[in-house]
Amino acid sequence: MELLLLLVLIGLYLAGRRRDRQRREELTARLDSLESGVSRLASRVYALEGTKPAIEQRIAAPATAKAVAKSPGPSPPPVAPPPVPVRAGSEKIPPAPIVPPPPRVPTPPAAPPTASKKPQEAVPVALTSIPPAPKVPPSPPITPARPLRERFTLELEQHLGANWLNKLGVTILVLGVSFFLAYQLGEMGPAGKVLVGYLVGGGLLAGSILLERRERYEVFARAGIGGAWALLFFTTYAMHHVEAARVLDSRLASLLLMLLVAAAMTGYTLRYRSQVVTGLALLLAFWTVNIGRETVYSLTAGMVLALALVVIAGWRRWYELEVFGLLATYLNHFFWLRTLVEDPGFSRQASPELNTSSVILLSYWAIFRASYLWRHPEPGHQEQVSTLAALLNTSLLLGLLKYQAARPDLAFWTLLGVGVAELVLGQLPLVRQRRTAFVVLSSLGATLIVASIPFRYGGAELSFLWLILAQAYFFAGVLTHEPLFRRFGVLAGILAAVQILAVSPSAEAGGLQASLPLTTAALLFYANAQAAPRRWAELLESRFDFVSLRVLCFLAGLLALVAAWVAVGEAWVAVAWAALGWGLAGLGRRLDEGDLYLQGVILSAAAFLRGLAVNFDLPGWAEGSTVRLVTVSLVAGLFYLSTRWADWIEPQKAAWVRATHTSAAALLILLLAYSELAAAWTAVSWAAYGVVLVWAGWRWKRADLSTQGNLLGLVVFFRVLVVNLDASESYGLLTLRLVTVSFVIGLLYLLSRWSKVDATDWGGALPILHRSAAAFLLAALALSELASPWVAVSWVGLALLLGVLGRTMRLSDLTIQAKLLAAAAFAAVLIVNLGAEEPFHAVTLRLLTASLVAAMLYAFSRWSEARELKALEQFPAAYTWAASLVIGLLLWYELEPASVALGWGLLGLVLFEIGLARRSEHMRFQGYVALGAAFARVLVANLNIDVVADPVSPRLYTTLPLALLYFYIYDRLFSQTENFLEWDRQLRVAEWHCYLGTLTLAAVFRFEVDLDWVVASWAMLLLVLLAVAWHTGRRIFLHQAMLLAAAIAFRTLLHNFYQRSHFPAPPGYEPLLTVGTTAVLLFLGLLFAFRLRERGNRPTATDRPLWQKGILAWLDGRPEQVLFFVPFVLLTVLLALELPRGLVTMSWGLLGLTAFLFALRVGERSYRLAGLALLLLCVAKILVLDVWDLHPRDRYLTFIVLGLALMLVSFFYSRHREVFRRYL
Amino acid sequence: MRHRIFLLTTALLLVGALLVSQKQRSEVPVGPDALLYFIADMQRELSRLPVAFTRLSDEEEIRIGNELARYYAASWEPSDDPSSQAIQAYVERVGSQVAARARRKLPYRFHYLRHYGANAFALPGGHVFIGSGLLRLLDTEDELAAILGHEIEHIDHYHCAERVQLEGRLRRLRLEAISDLVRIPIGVFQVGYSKVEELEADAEGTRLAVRASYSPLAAVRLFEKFDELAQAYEHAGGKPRTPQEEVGQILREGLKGYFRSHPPSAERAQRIRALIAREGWEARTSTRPLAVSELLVADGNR
Repeated sequence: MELLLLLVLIGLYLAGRRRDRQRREELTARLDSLESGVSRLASRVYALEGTKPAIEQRIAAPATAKAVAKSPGPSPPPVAPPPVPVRAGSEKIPPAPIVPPPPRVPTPPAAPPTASKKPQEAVPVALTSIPPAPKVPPSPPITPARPLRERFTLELEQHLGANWLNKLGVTILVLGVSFFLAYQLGEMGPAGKVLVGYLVGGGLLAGSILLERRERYEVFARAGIGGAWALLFFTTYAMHHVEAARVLDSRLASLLLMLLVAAAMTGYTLRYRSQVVTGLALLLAFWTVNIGRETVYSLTAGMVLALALVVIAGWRRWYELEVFGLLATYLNHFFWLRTLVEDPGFSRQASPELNTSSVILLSYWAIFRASYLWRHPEPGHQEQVSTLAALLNTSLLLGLLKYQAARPDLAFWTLLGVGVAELVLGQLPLVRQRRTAFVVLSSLGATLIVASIPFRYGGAELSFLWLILAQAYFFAGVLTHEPLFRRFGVLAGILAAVQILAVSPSAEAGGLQASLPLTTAALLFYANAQAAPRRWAELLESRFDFVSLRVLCFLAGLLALVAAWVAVGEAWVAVAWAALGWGLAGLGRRLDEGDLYLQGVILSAAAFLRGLAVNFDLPGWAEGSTVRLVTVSLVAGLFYLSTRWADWIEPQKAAWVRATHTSAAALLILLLAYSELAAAWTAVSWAAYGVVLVWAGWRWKRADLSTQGNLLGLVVFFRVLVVNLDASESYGLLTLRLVTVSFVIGLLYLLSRWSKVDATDWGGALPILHRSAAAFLLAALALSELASPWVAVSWVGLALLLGVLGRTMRLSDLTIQAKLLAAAAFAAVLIVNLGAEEPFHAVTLRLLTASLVAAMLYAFSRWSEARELKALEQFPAAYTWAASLVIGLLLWYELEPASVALGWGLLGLVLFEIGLARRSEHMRFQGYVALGAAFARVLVANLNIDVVADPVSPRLYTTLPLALLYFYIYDRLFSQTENFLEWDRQLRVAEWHCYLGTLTLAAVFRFEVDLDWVVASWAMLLLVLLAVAWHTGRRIFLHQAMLLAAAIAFRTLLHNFYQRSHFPAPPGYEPLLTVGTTAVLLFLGLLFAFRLRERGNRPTATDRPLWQKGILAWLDGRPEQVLFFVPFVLLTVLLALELPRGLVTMSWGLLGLTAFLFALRVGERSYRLAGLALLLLCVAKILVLDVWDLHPRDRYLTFIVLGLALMLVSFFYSRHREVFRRYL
Repeated sequence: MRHRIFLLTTALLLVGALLVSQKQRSEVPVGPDALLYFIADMQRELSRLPVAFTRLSDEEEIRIGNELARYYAASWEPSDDPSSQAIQAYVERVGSQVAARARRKLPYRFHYLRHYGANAFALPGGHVFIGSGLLRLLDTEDELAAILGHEIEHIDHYHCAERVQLEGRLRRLRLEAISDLVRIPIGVFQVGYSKVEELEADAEGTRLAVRASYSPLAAVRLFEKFDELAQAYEHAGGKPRTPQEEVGQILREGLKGYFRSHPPSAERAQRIRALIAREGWEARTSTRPLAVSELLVADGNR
């Protein structure tokens, strides 16, 4: 029941929606038309406004001309307006009075002045004062149309309120009354109920009719009218069919009454020409009938309603209404059936109502089918709705018949009967006038006939019957030139093929006889698809037919494939398919038929897959069977033969087909070799086959064969890596690995001879790829066959060989392989050889192998240059770097820890000398790195050597030669002026080594000498540096001396003075001794400092610019200042710290005096000032400190000495006044 | 020609030195020690000057030492066990004999740490601590005297006081406030001092022990024993087998060793031998056994 309600609502909704859509479309179109009209008007107004000034001018010109023409003067110039007042004639004629322009009269908007009227108005215009055109006020903006979204919302709201609420209301009202009549108010008699029903229905009808007259309530009232009629019909129905309201016993009378009411209802509602009103009335009537059904005969009301509906629908062409009526009719019946069938006591055999039901159902079908036959719908929508109704009619009939299932044995005959009926009806001349109806009914009929057969027949009978039916349809279509039947034939054939395939026997149970239906069907379909179109060309006119026949053709191929599978044994299926593929491809080529050729290709693919999946599982040669060998070889051979048929298709496709076939064949042969041969020999056989393929490709210019051969080379490469390199079994005196891998390597080199596919870069890369693979395998073979430490040696030897060959044969890829191999050898040395401590005669294996590798790396760098490859120019340098690194590491391993720095120093020296001799930049820089490493090693190792009781400390004899070495490098570079050392000069390598030498010495002294004597040792070093600087004239030594002086000052102040707390130093470590010695040595440096000052700062090639500016430049130019003031300050502090307090002032005074005198001697003002300052400091100290707390003895001694000193100074000042002036 | 002579000389010297070095097979501890000593000494030298000018008074140093000892002693659980008390008394007796000859007259106090490893350390103001682990390594009372003399000299030479000053300056602490003092971790005194300070403490500590009638050779034996332990430790860890391992070790030791810049024990023993020779102490060979050996065993078993 709910479903019925839903249907009613859906029907109402769809009908209303359609009407509303139409109305909305009309309104929108009208609105758009109005908007475009407004836009056109607006544009015209703008256009007019734009032309207004020009028009005014045009008007003004004739007016002026007329005004001038009226005056007696000469004619004015024709062109107006002139730029100056017209004076012509002004002497004879008094000038015309200037008339102001008339006030502008506003024109009424309803009748605007047109351009044609303006010239007629006499407007007095002065010639000299044409007023400017008045400013045109901007046109008011056009109010935009209400936005579409807002408009839609308003419409929706309006629509809901006016159209839907009333329908819903009346539906609910009618339903309520119906229920009342059917079930409620039991105390009221049937007559009362009927009376109430009529009263309510009538009242509603009357009220609605009254209201309907007023336009405002028109929509509302029509819904009420529909509902009222529905109620009246139901009341009439209830008078007999509803027990609670039964007042009428005669079924005929009831039927007549219902017909009467239905007629009245229909007649009345038709007045309104409203599908909604009529539909609402009818559908509500259906619903009410559904509520009150009791016996099968009550369904006759449905028949009546259906009849009424059919009449109305046909008359008014309200075909949508008929669809819903049809649904309501069958659904009413369904609900009645369901009540019956779901009753627990129901028995189909004991239910005679079912036969009546069948008759009633057939009546429904007949009514609606008749309606369909006799209608004349418009093409398009009406035809579509009609088609829907036609399909629904048969579908619902069959569905309900199936549901009630009164006689299942009659299903075949029912389907066949209905099918034949539909088919026959479809052929009626009345129907043939409407193509759609013909198609619908014929299709229904043909489908039902085909569908009926399985209800009676099965298996092969069904296959043959369907095949016969399909052929019958097909030939009927061919002979009658009706494509519809041909298509039925094709579809039925497809169905038959599916059925044949579904019931086809398995291969085990097969045989030639079992494959007969498949073969027959395949041949029939091939005949239909290939032979028929050659006889009747019109079969291919339609695209659909063309496609259908292609489908048939491919179906035939599928059937043939299955037939072959069923017919032959398991092992030979692949061969059969390959042969079938070969045959079909050949036939396709002969008949110029692409589909056949394509099927041949597909069958070949199937044969390939079948061969892969099945034939390789068969027993092989080793098991005493040759089936696998024979069948796979045959398949592969057929593939190669099939490539011959490809010459008739497009070249590109032909190439693809050939490549596919040969690839498949090659793959099968590879797998065959894999299956039949021992694992280690598989790669050899593949490599040999690869050579054959590339040779064949090269010989016959077949890129596919070449590509396969090349790919095979790669596969062989990986196969060897995975399998053969592990084959360590003995093979005679050799290993199986050595034999097989050697074969493969040879074949790969042979393969590279013919492997070039084309002239492209990619084609040219293939030989390189194979040679690289061969080289890699060689390296891998060496790795597998040789003991670990000798692998690197063999690799680098091989690299050397390849490098020489590459250079000789001008094959750059060999050179690259050689370089990579050498790099690998280098890595192997690092990883393996340096850890090989096993003895080998008198040396370790590490020493022997790593030395060999290093030597060969040096040789390699010399003989493997690839000048044609720019990117590899730096490789020789890289390999010398690698060799040097190996030697350096070897030294680390082989030498004692204390000797490593010496070893690295020697290595650096050798490399440096070679670099100089050969002018090799990278060799020199390797030497520099080795020397730097030696210095770092000294810092972290040699300086840590414990003090032992040896006559000479190992720290000394392992580091001092290195210092000498650094100075040698400096000296060697300093004396060179060749251009090839430019970079060395830019990097100031010489200077760096000079500093390293001095740093080494200073560091050794720092750790070797007793801590308190370090400053003295440094002072000695400083003296030596100054002497060297003076002797050689190289100021770098002076700079180092200056830096060392700073270090001495720092260390003395912070270590020697304050290191030992407040306790006296042990004998021999007293600061007076250590610092005093240091100060003396520094003062001795003045001997060289003055000479160096006089020589001046003359920059040399290796002097750093740093020393050419700022305080460093000053230090460079005045070394005597440093070498005086550093010891002077140190002595001052020393005296203050070490002497008894009472003697400090006195000692300072003496020091100041000495300084003063020395200054006089050397004529250095700064020294003199320093001495004087110290003396003055003494004076201040006396005044502030000594006078108060010194011991009396010290006090007077201090005073005396200081006084004398001051007097002496004063004396000298007096005496040498001129000298002082000069010095000043 | 000149450069050829120079080259030949250099090469000959290098080869000669290499041959000698290979023959001598000198023991070379590879590591950043030399650089670390250099850096640590420089750091100390840099700090020594300002510290020398702002030295703490003895009273202030004693107060700080007492505060630190009281704070840290709370976590070391003084034992009421008779063995521990006997060992404590023994350490105090030996320490007092040695400290009596120190230059600075401070209230030296000696503490036996029952649950402490093979280490000894000193706090400013006179507190010296020795762990049971270190005591168990000793054979003679003279060795104990050498250790205590070494720690006394760290105090006597202001090493501890200067470290407090330095830490206070670096951590911006008010040394007069106990709440700030306890922020100085005890590890600062436990990790040792610079090489110069350690060698100074070695020499002066040996001198103190000799003055207290102990044998200077005990200090030599002690450092030889430490050297053996260090070598055993090195062998257990293994010498580097590859250059990469050596670089890794240098980096590791560089990070770790900056905070532990003790000079190698062999060098310390060598220096003390030199001191013995210089001072003419070769005849002072008689030693006294460690009186608490059995007590240490009993204390350890508990």
